Amino acid sequence: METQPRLVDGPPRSIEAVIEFLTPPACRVELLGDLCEWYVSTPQYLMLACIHLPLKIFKHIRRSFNRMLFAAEVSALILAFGSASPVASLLVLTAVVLAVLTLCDAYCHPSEGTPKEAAVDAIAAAVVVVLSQAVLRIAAPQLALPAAVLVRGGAISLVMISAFRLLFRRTPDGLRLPPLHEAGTIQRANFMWVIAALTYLWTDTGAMPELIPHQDFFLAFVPIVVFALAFRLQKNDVFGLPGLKIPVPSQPDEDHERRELVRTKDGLWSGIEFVAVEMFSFVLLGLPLLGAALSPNVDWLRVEMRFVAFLGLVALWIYIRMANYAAACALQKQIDALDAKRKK
Amino acid sequence: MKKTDPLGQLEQVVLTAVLVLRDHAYGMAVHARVVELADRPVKLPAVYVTLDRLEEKGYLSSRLSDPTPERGGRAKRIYRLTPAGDRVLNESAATAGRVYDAVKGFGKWKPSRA
Repeated sequence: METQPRLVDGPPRSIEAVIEFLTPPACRVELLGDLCEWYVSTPQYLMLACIHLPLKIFKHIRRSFNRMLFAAEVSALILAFGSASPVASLLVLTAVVLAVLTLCDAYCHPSEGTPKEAAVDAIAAAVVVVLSQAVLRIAAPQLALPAAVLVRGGAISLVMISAFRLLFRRTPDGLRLPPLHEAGTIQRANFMWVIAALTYLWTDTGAMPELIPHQDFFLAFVPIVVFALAFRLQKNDVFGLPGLKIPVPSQPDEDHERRELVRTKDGLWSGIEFVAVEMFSFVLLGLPLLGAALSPNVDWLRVEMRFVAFLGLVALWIYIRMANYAAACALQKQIDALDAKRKK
Repeated sequence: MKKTDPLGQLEQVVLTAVLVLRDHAYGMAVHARVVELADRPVKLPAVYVTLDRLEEKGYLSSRLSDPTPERGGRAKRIYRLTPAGDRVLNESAATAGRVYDAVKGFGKWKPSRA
């Protein structure tokens, strides 16, 4: 059955342009076409647009919502602003940023998200934060963040949110691991996680329990050592360190391609030798949480925030571990295929 | 034994409308046919939300048609049943048939519309 068009005259171009601008690109043609076909008068067109546009936006919010990315963004905001902010202002800021980013996701859906889009989203969120803080300074100064916290937290969160959105944005097929040719992406993810973990520690060193004399001094160095070790592992430059099992090429005269594959595989965090580093890192990351919970004057809101940040880091780590392992397996398959080819 | 997720009443009617309309199953036409099948007013947004939900469940697939002049040169989103949608509608219709037979066999009850 073909429904007869009720079109008497088209909707005004200017109103149509506004609706077009507000509609997520993925359903723009469909919604504008439907509205055009239903058009009887301008008020009726506007009323229908007001009913259907939120539905379409909500549909895309639902479809583009990514729990992993959301957790990562919450963690990034807590890491960036959590330690120095009053809780209420942190909640306001987090709500504003997450609302903007969720809308950005809805409008990008189902795009995979390019580096440019990730950066633009983070900048859009930063602009909205600055504007909202300006409004708060006038309307409710007690909820506004101090300028220094805003600048420092803004810089940290801008970088982290851009990176998280690039890495974890939902694709039409759901969350997927980076493909093999993006081994560099996995290495960047590892790098970003280390930065996030270090920031988590640095933002709350005061809450750590005093386990050894001059602990602050030593703890300041521990993350740097872990960071340096991780960086060296990523560069595959630790062949000389004792106790680390690095696969040695089986044939001394193997070709360049195989050497490159082995080198890339070794650069990923997939081997058993990383378990010790992993365990140590998580013990270290648990210290601020423990310190906050055991301190004489427990600030439970602060403890909860640290806990959320800790959970975010753990969730990200699980994803990163999976990505490293999947890429290492794929690389091993390629190496095996090369070996089999050579045997023939 | 339950084979698939049971359909809601509106979902049943929407799937039936899509099945009947075949290549012309786009939002507005589906809404018109749903009103006809349900024999009561059904709000347009409810039909669109149901179409989206059925698509997410994998019972419907959609594609954009060629642009038409009455839509300002824009395409329609045409829906069609997937094999899973076809199966679930059949199961649903069979259940409805069994319920109807059972109720009809009960002496005191007389259907208002056969």
